[in-house]
Amino acid sequence: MPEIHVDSLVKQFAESRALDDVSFHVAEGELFTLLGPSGCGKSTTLMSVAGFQTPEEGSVTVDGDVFFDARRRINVAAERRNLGIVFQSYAVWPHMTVYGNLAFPLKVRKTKRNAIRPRVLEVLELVEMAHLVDRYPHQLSGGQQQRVALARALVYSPSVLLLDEPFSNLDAKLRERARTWVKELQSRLGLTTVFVTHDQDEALSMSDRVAVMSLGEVQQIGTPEEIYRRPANRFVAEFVGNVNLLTGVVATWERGRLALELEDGRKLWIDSDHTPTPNARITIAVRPESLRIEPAGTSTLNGSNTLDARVTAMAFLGDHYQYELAAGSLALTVQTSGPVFAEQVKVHIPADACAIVAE
Amino acid sequence: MTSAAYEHTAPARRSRSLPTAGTLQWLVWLLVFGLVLGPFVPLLFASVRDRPLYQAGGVFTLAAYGDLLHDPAFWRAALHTLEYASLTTALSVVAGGAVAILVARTDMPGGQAFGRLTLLPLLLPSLGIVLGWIVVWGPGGYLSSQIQSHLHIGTLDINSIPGMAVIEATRLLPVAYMTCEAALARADSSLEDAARSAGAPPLTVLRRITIPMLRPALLNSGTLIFTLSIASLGIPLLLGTPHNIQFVSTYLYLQWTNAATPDSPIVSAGAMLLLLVATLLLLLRNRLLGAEARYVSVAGKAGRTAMLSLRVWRWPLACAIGLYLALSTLVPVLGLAVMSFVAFLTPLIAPWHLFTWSNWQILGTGVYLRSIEHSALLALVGGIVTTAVVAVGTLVAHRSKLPVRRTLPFVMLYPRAIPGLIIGIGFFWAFLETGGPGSFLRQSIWGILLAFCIRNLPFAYVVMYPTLTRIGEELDRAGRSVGASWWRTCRTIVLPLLRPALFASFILMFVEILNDYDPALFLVRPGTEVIGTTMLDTFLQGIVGPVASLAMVQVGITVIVLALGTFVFKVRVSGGHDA
Amino acid sequence: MNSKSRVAVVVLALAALVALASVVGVASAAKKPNPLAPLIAQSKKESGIVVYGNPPSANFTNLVAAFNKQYPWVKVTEYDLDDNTIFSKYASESAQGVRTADLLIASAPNLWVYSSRQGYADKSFTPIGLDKYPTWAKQFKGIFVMSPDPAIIVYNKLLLKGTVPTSVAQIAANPSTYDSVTGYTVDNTFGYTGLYGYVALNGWSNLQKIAKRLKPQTGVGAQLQLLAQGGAKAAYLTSPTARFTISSNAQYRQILDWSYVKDGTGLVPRGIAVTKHAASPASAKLFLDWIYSNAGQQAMCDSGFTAYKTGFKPSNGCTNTLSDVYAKVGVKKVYMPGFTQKFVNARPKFASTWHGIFG
Repeated sequence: MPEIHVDSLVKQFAESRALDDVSFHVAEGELFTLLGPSGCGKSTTLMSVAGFQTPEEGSVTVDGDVFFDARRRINVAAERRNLGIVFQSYAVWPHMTVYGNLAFPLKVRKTKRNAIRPRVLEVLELVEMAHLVDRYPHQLSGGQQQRVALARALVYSPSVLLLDEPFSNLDAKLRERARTWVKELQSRLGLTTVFVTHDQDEALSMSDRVAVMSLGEVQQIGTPEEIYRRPANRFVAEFVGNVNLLTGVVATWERGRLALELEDGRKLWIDSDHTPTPNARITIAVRPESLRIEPAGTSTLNGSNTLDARVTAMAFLGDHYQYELAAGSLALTVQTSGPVFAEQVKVHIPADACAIVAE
Repeated sequence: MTSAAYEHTAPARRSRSLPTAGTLQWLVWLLVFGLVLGPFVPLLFASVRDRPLYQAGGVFTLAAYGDLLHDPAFWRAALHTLEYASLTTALSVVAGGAVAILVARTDMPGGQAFGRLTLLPLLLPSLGIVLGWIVVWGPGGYLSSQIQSHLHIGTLDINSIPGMAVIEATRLLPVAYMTCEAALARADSSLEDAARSAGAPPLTVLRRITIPMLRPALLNSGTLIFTLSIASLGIPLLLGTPHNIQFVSTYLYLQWTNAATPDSPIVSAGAMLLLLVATLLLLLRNRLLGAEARYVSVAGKAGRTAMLSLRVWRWPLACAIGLYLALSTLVPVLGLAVMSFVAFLTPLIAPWHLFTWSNWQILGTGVYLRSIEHSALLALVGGIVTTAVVAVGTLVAHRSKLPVRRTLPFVMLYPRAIPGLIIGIGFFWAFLETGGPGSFLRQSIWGILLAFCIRNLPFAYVVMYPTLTRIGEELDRAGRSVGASWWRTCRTIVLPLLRPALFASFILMFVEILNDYDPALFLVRPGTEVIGTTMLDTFLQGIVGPVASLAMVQVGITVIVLALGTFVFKVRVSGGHDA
Repeated sequence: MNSKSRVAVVVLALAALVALASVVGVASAAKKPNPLAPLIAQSKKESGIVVYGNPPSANFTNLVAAFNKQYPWVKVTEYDLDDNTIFSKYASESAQGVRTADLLIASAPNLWVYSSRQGYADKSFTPIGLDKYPTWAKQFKGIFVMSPDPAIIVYNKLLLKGTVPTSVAQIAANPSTYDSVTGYTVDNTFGYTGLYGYVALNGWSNLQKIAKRLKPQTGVGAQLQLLAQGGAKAAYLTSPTARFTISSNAQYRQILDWSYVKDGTGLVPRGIAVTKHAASPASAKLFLDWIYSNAGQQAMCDSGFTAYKTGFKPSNGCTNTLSDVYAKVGVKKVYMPGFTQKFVNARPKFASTWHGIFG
């Protein structure tokens, strides 16, 4: 079972801690993403798994083989780990043709001469690049080079694939297509994959599970839905998608729900199994698309969790509208599928759409 | 395509049979370390004895260092050396950097050709070049006396420190040029494009962006040039005597020739002090280079280099550079060529009255012919071997994780940190002390080859290092990620991309070994002569004609090898473009 | 027996005695012992001599050719080195016990003084016929003067247009004619010796007059080059090997010529010694002995060295002899310094005085 176990990695650079107790595990066949802003340690983590960085503490095990264990002083050389890696810059060797690039790993593994070419063409078919087999990298576009890099990582059938921001150099349309295509390939081949990106759309659309990282620490691990709907803390809430953050004091609570008193005195009910400390100050996150707004005049919304608000800005984004509202001193962002033609609106915050992110 | 097509091939071979990367790297380190320190060990030992090291009954003492440091003449010499080295470095770095910028970043006419031509002095024999300068620009020189008498303006006094610095600078400027050119080719041009888009005129871009970007390269090459010029002996000896300007190298040379007893420990002590200064300089360079990473652009391809238009300055600048090249290099070489066809060159008699073939005819006989044959053989073998050793050494120094790898850049520059004569003594003693193999080396031409190779390997390193920095480390990592060992990655990925540098290094090694003489003075014997020692002998006897023809032979052989090599390898000496 | 037969017997006996005596006399005349015979026999078993010497190879090869006419089986290999290298090599090699020089030929007095202290020379042999030489021909036991070379003046006859400098005083007294002069510095051993001789005879006054007009050069080659180019008009007290260079080159003769220094010729003795660690001592001694023979002296003269056997006249009119110097300059104006400690010790003070004048 090509599972990956990463335990308690600690990596110290001169001025800062790049990795602070990073742990996760990747199940067989899973596409696991490390998501975070630049400098959060995601690439360092990936390179530690690959063997190009040596952490001070922790362990890395793949498919039962211990690749790294600081305590037991085990550190398997990168060239012996048999992982497929696509680097951010692709690192396609400029002095070899596409064929040469792919044949090299096979030659290293002493594959029989007459078995090399068929295998190379086979994998190139997989990435739809077979017709460019004799070209040099400088004759290829960025997207084509990326596919060559991927093919090279696959040609020797590793059971684990590591991808370091492979799409960051592609334009938006190409990126989308590449995402779908890579995901389809990965699931078809059943490759256990660790994917590094700073783009949350990528992370959400491709991953089976995501680990959000910041400043060397893992903030939350979960499925894309869990990350999105139930962010564990403020950082995750803000980093992944748009979010409204509301802070208030716990006024009352009962089983299953609690009431939050906002600054201006209004009360907000949220569904939660969490037992809060009385008078605790908590922050909740609500996604803009969960909020409902209707023009104040014709609205049928009322009750608790419904606020009066004034529209301060509006943006049309093709498939949805985004409204900035001011409800008293509260600023809210709302996303709707259709336009709301009014300046005064009523906005309803569903109790089950709130997640506690900070206490 | 179905997943059936994705068969599992055998996993990466765990190489048990081959030596691990670590072993290979240690061996390389040992080889380079051992070879370079070979001549220095006897010198170190000799410097702390009270009598020559081969005499019985010596005791350990630091008296030699004491004598040296208490001698005011030594400090005067040190001051002159400092002045000389500083001036040479300043001239080389400014001129080399300027030419690099002009060639790589502007639309100056004849760009690449000029860049190539500034490298010319590296390919010419140093003794010959100095002779050429003397003949043309010396106190009685052809051009200088004409200009002085007809135009009544002074010409450069080549016997003064500034004059000597100019000559040395023409020879060392290529180091600055190559380093800066490599840095410019590697840098991301969008940095300068951004400044231009913000409205900055070209000169401002140059001043505020390009030159600061070049700072690490300038500092790097500056410390190297400084180290090389401190140990220079040829120019100070030939040109410094008329005004009695002593340098540390000539001071040590005089100590060696005039001491009451031969092999005074002071000479070895002086050499060790020079080595110490070189080490400190290289440490300084490392500290300054630490900042270099800041200046390398993040990822991305280098792309098209921006062209700054020189507009009205194009032709004046081109002419200025052309004039510099003509006066400093081509004219002395021409003087040398003419000199080879006359008994001697003097403005008092027209050259055609002095025409003779004898300087060339004599080359076909006895010691001259033997010297040429030996030198050509040594240069060919030595060039190939040294390039190979330095290539692997540079890879271990900069592309491995060997704990002691940082000692290699130092060690690879040491052989040029002290005058060639003293390192020759070191070789001689090292061979004497190592029994059988040493005896074989001492008495055959292979000892001379070893001495020349080690003496000149710093040049190979200086050429290879900038190009290596242009090869991104992710290419190495990709190789290792697909299962190739460190050595295999070096062999199939890095070395092929280093080809322009390997070729340039071979040519440089070939030329230096072809022309060298100092380290061989103690090793040469009848039957193992080389061109350099024969030239020196002939010159010291007062016959300058054959010196000039031998120098022309050196130049001729170099040009042939360069042309052949370029044709065969289809690479350029500088500015080789990786695909 | 009668008286007639007794006389006959006596006459016969006398005749027999005379015959016997003459036979013995002839025999012994034929076998008059060659004092070199044992050396010759020994030398035939040796494998040739190695010479570390400072004479230019052109001159020395000439000499060796003449030597081989008398001793054809002795192969001579010369290493043309400078003084310091000669002694340094010998000292290092003999200390290690490896094959080194059989003969040393050098000029530096400090090194010869040192050699005598260190016992570098083989003291057992004195050339036959050394009694026909001045006493200073033998400097130490085993160390002899091979050639007492006179310092000379070389001048540019084109620029001087017929004026011939025959003395340093002449050069000193005419600053306009001899506006630039070249020569050795005192830091060069030949320079020091020549200057010392001159100063010993005439004091410093003339040198002080030359003072700033001097453009010293390292080596006679550079001096000749400067003279030929017109950068200097004359070289004072320079090496007599220039005579050979000028006389063997028709084109040099167009510009340069030489003359003796009439007001003070310092002799620069070139020393020779058979080494204690010689591998071919017999052959070396034969060479040493031959130098001082008539054949050797003739060859010395022809090869550009200085023959100095008292009363020796070269058969072909060659003028490179000490008697020629005495004739042209006068015995009183010739100074022979010798390899003495006093001479070596005088150097530092002499050098600083010289530098005080010349810079």
